[in-house]
Amino acid sequence: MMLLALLISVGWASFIPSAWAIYDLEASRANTARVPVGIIGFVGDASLGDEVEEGLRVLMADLRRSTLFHARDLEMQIAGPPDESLGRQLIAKLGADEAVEVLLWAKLGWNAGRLELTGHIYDAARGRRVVGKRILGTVEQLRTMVHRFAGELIHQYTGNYGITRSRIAFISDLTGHKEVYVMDYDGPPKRVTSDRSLAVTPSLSADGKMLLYAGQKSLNWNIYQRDLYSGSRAVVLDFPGLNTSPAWHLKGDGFAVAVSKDGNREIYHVTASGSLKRLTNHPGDDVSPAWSSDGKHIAFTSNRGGSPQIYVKSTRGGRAKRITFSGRYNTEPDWSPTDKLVVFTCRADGYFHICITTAKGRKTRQLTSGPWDDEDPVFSPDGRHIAFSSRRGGRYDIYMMNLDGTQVERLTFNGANNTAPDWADSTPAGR
Amino acid sequence: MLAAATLLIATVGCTKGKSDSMGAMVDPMPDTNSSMMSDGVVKSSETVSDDLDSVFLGSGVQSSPGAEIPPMMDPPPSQMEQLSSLQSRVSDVFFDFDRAVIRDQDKAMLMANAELLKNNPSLSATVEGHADDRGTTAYNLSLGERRAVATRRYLIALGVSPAQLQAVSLGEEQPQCTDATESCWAQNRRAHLTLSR
Repeated sequence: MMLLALLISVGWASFIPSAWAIYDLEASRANTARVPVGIIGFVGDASLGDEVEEGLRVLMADLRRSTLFHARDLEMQIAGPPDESLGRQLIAKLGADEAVEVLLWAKLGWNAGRLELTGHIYDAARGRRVVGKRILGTVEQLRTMVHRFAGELIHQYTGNYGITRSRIAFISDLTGHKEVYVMDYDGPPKRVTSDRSLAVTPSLSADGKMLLYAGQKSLNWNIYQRDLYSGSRAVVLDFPGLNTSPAWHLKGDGFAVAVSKDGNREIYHVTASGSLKRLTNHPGDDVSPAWSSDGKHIAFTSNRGGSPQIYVKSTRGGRAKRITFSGRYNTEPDWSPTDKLVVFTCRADGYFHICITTAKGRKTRQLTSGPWDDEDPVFSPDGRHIAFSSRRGGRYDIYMMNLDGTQVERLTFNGANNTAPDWADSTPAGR
Repeated sequence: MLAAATLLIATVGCTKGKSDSMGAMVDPMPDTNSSMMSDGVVKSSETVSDDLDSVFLGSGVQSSPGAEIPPMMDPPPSQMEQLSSLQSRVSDVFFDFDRAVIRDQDKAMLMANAELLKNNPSLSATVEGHADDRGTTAYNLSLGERRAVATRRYLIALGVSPAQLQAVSLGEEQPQCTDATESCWAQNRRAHLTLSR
């Protein structure tokens, strides 16, 4: 599977010198720094005109959002995939003429009543195919099928599928009640709770299967769990008062949560075996825990210094270290998958915005600005994007952007208020 | 409570990506067979499972929290009137941004609220703590709880029986006023007493 990565030695995956080098790389990666990709055909049966158009659109969007590729539709519409004998010359010539490193060809058709996507990926320099893929599904699954194909190309370069197989959980008031919804990162949303109460602070497990959220029930805020595949549900924490902001441990060891049973808000770790470990102990309020990827640290919001700020603490104890120093309102931290960066909600000029800092708080940047509120930032599972909620369009909607604040895209369009995104991969284990 | 957590969390680890008869809420990613071939032939395929798009939207027997409150007998009309007239006599307590400290100007009014509760020992009051929508959900839930608890404690210090008072945070979830102005935000930074018998 890593053949292409060797053939085309770009090696993004190994390019991890330091946090800010990564960061600056993201910031400076203009189209010219991306791998040029040419689409030599996205064709289909006559009955699939709309699907072909939609499929090409999704493919282009996936490649653009990967931040790795600059894709162009060469509009050749070659009817069949270039075969090995004639293809080598054609591919090599196209690669040279169009100055692209990779060529893609895809076709939509019918196979025993199912929609079939056949896709090929060619290494242009060597004129040979490196991936051939057939994906079967229904017409409704077209977007997911194209994501799979795009994911194959991203996988060649990074060893992961980028965000193509990721999903976002969030809160929407579409029904008039705040309920939890889940969508593939580019939609459409599906409602997964019907509590007809108030649901807040959803958290998706690292594999995207399990959901935790806080919900109000009469005078209490409890933590609820949903299995997104079986639909089974349970109350997992109902200490008197406030149980809120659950966060799944990224290696599967239960979750962290803010609980007020001790009189003020403290953070606990509810382990996979069900034991309860207190992680903070301070008269100030500690909420919104976020795990480092190795589970050895948590970042959280605390007002112990007089205003809400982000702190980091080892789960083995010791002192909490403050990592935000600018402004009087910094909340809702989330770690990057590499643990080198922390994104959070900051306050500037009377509005809330998205800020990012290095894990020890040495360098901080404000990523969004404008006369509106941006909140709830969370890293994509591949660490290349940040999702957040923003009121820039009048209501709150979910948006995504690159790590440097560029390429802001709205992801929800249901006319309701959509907030509190959490973003997880859903790639099956071993893939 | 912890026992419940033990039991439920323990089930997380062995969850499989299968749907049961209730239907999957969110699509399981299908198991996949490798279909990348080096010899130019597509030899196998992967199937996006048919239940990928099924959605679980509740079984119809699910109840909202309110539905679990047992039905109550209507109180006699005189008492109902009395409750609403009493309710109109309690006032909200307001707070500064990101603070849960009872302000001097609200103390006289809280004393009046306390007297009302002391003179009507059959009354219960739910102290709701609210925050304005500037700021973030979890922190505002915490702030709302601090406001509710501070107000409840103050009333108890004035002689109200603790048994009459329950505190709950509503965070920024139920604003009184929805404009983006300071006067509106100020109205939302409040503790509100809801009376019941």
